Amino acid sequence: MIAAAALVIGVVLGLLFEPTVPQLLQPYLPIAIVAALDAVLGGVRARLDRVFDDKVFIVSFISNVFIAALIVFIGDKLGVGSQLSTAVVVVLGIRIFGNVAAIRRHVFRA
Amino acid sequence: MVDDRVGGGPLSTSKLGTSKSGTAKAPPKPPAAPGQGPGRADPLLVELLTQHLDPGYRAAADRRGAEQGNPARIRPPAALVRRHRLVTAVVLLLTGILLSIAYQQTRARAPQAARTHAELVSAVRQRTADVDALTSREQDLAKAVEWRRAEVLADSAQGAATTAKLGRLRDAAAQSAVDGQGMVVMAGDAAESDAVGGGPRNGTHADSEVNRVLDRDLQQMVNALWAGGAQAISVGGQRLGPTSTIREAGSAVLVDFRPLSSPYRIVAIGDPDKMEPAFAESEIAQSFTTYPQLYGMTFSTRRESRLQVPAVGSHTVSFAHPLPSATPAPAGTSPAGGSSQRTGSGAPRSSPTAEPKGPPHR
Repeated sequence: MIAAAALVIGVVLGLLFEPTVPQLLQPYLPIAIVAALDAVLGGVRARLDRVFDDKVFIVSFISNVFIAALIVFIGDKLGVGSQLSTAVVVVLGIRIFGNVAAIRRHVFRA
Repeated sequence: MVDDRVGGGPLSTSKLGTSKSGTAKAPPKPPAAPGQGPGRADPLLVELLTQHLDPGYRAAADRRGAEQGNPARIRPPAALVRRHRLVTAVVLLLTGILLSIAYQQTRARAPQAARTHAELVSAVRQRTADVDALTSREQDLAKAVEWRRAEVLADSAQGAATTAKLGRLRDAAAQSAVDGQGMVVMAGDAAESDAVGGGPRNGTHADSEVNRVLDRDLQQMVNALWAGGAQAISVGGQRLGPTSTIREAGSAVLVDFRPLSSPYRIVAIGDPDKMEPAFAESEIAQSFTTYPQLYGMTFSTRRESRLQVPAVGSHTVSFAHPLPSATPAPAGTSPAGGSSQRTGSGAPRSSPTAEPKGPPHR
């Protein structure tokens, strides 16, 4: 529950203070969001599967976000930025869907 | 890696280990079959579509279970939990902040198009209002000028003749409002594509090219009315003078470069007994009487006994020359000399006002 509270508090803080992302990181914000969502939902599913481990969650979160941004960054430099970005979003989206389906199965037993 | 999907799925076959999530398993074993035989699904795709949970969780759980010698017990030791829990909370806090930042950014950007549209619309309205204000001021000034001119010319026979000639020329150039009896012709587009955005035209429907009143149609109607003996015609409230135009730009009809919207109201002042039959017999009227049924457009004519058409809205001075006068006059305040050319017509006038008596002084 602390985790959920922390998430909600984070959203509220962001809405209150309206921090601005530095210009350099702006293009990577959407991909970072998707990677973060994937990591968070993976954590929720692990929690429901009762295999949750904080360390794994933290590492997976950071590595997800960092690697996704890195892939997009390298893609930008190589001229395939949008394609790689699409690929990253597709893969993360598939994982998100799979995790959400598992969560749904846990919650609704359906 | 253990496949931890429960139940059926696109790639779950009996060969995959159907481990129900939540129960402890034996040490991890490689997935059976897929990708190992010819014609099997690519292991990358299989993994992509089935392994959604980070395998680290399962590995950590198994490691903890093995460490504690009891595979069934897979909860982490309490000592480390608190520290890790704190970091997890911090990470989730950051995620929340990230989400709200993204939301705010998107919200700030999204209505950009709508805002630009609204700004353009308001700018257009503002300019139109400015133009209208200037036009009415111009008309007031023109009236003042005429009054002065009449005043000046009134005290001589030549002046009176000049005034009369000027009046005739102005009537011919449609620079005076006219009222009287006549007829009104209304023609409108088919009412099918006005849903989006409102306003006269927004040009987003390419298929609204059909079933619309075109500039040609209005031109032909106006010509038919002139031929039928009309003396003054206005379209959509715009008086038609000798140099007035009815054109089309994009999907809007412009009369003297002012856009009009359907339905179009043509007011013709003249003798209705002559105009009505002449108009009804014209080709354009006969075509248009069939259009309401065929295309859903609207068309109607009626005679009226009290109609009014305004003067031409814009008249520009094309030629002017100073009076051949001996008396010096302050520059720019010679309304008689300047306004003698204000007939709005492009044809040069060879000083119709022989006003040799000198300009009036203020």
